[in-house]
Amino acid sequence: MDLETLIPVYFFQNLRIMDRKAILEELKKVLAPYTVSKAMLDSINEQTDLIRDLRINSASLVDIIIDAEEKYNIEFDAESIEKITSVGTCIDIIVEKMNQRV
Amino acid sequence: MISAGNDIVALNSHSARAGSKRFYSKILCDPELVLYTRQMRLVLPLYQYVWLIWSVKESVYKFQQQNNPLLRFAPKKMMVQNMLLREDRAGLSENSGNETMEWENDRCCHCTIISHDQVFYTRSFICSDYIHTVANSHPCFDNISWSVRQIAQTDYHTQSGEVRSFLLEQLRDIFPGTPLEIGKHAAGYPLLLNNGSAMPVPLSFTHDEQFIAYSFNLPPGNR
Repeated sequence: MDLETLIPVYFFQNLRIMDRKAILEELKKVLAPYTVSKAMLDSINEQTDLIRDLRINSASLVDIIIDAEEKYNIEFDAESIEKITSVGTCIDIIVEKMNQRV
Repeated sequence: MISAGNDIVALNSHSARAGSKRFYSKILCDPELVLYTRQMRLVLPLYQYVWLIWSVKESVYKFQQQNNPLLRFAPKKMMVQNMLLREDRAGLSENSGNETMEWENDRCCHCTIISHDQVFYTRSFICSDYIHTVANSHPCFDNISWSVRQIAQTDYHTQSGEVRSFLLEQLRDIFPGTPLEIGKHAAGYPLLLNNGSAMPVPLSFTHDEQFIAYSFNLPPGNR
């Protein structure tokens, strides 16, 4: 692979990583009103379990989905909602739905 | 399938948000909306109906999850088939384990629901302060015991501790002298332990705001 091919690949991989980090930071603000574990919220990463680690109840999860839908102008369908277990799976779906919108 | 599942929803000022379309569209299937407009709207405000359906689905999910730990809560993949709302208090007096406080105008709702191709049955108790639902895989609830209690503090640790103590009070009467403890399965559901070994008594806990509740499944031969 020559340098001209490598540069765009590196650029877009890096951009994708930055997008996920940016979404993670924004998700912290969305999650804040619904978690009782504020200390855990400061140290969340993509592996953080929404229910077990952040102690978000399932009804609040619906509110979080609605807030995320408004923030990113996307819609979570029933299949997507079933997949949401961690911060990472939530970011996966936001990225997927945003890409579908483009 | 022997398991246990229950769910409680405190009806307070925040719970009215369930009446918004954005919220209930995540919970209700289209036939459940039709059921409301054709039948249930005469007896329940929309937000209470939404929380009733929520409570039914959550209790059944907890019941199923003990046999399938990988199951995820997907309310729109579960569908209420039948709903019978009784204005009388007959449902409350059928279960000796029920110590639910006396409330005026409370109602008992019997539902049949399909979840992942299996049929389940629920009983819900609706009053102005909460909706509590208990699930079973059989229409007879003789083996299921449940109870609701109101507590003073609403932080997570207090709710969690109080609901465990509340259940152990009841179980120590049934198993006198047994050193009972509550443990947790790796999948997150509670286990009844005797000297560290799991007993064949499925349990379920729930709490919301100032209300805590449990259910357990105890066949007569185990009493």
